[in-house]
Amino acid sequence: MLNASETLIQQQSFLSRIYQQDSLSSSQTGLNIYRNNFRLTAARSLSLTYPVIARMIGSENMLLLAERLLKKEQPSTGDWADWGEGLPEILADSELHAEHIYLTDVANMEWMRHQADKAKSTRFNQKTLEKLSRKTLSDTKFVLSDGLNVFHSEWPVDRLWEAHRPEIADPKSYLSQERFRMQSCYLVIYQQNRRPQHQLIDQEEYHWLSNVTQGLSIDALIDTHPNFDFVHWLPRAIEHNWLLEIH
Amino acid sequence: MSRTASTDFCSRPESTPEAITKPVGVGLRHQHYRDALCETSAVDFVELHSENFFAQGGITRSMLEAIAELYPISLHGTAMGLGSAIGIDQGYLEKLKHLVHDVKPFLISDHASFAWSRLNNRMIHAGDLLPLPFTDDALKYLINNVKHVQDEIGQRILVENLASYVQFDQNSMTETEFLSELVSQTDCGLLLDLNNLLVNAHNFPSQDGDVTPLAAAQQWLQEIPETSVGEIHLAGYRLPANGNFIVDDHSQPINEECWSLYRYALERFGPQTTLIEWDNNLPDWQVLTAEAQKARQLIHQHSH
Repeated sequence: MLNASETLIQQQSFLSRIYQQDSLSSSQTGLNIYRNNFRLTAARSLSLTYPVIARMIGSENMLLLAERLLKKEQPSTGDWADWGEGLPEILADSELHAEHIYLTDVANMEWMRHQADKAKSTRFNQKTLEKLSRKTLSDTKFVLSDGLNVFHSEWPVDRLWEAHRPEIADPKSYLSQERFRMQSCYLVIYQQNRRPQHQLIDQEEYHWLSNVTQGLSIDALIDTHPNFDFVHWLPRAIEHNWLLEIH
Repeated sequence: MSRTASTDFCSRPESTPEAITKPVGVGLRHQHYRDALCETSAVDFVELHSENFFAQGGITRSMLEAIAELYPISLHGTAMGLGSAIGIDQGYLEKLKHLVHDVKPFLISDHASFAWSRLNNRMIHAGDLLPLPFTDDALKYLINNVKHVQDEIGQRILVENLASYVQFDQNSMTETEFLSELVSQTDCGLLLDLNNLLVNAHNFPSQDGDVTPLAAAQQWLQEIPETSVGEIHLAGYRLPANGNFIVDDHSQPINEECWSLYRYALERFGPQTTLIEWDNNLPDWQVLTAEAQKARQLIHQHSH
């Protein structure tokens, strides 16, 4: 047993030395190969999860942010695609924030798109529509599709995101053609046809969907949003694959 | 989801009735998905990195389903951490089990390395293939974990020899003794990565100055039980600056030294399922599959 715990301690020690990025030197020792590989893999992983942010800030900044993020959030699942949720917070604390205050929200939007991308692909269960004919809907709820999120930003993050996609050659030109204006936006982010999507919604629909995500019953939703056009919203929600079922 | 993952690869037109042949595949990376879907005749199977397909849905899942319709699949893990003294995360294993259930791979493999450990009282993943000392204790953990994984997924796995950039003072046996005992205790197979053998032999030259890296790698192969081999990996690496370690970056064509070791391995072990690994600085699909064709020709030459 003594030897067994020695092996455990040896592995903890090895991993701990790899994480000690502060002591990184340019000398090419075996340990430094692991250290370099670790931070480069982390930066590459972040760039895959946040491709638009990577383009907006460049690879050197991405590497710097990856190193900072590793100190706060360590990979824990064996899948690098699960790592990186804390990047918006790291961005908000960085030197980049003062000059580009909208970056944090673009990052938040990208993380939500990433979640929608990985979510289980489902279709609305049409049979559950009959539950709407119940006398009371106080126990009846809309169940949203996996990976759906709503998001509000003081900045036009949807336009900024679209302009900086890798396939757009000249983001400035793209934004000028779009008659870009700095204005707030409300978004729903979801998966449709197995791809992550986002759509602009108005403030009223944003609050409605926020309450759906909180699990309010349909009766409570209607009471909270008496002027919301629920009848027209439902087929649209089904068409865009926002709903999983009525429960 | 998958077509019946037939392992009857013995009917290629160039084979004579007496010939024993084995499949040759390539590691399939994102940039080649379209090529692989359009041109299916170039390779016998594709190897996918398991963790890249852990998502439950989305376009990656669609691609997986399309690929599985066309090719037998080998699932190669890079994150299982089979030698982890703390054990393997059950969440990881559940995702792998789901993937295995859906894809029905004809091979499942990972490395003789560790990845899971504790830092600041949290279980974390190293995100890399970290080396094991060749000791009885490290072997015990590796054996237990391999048995556990094989029980969980209900299938024999292959364990790959590692390219390592450190050597441990506490080694009490050789790497070949370590891996041979693993095979004996678990009935797993070995995935021989010939490039890893050469990288190690270059980075840590024999104390006997007369032994070339190729000869050292050949000796390594001599020490492995003949029946333990389940697959061979071939890859290339970028030449480092003078005095620096070679890094196993899978970024170049297979070099002549590695082809020479492959011929030696075919002589020793007979035809083996073979995979071309190319992960960085990816070439065109045609260049990649030409490497597979070269391996296939060598298998054919050794198949009588």
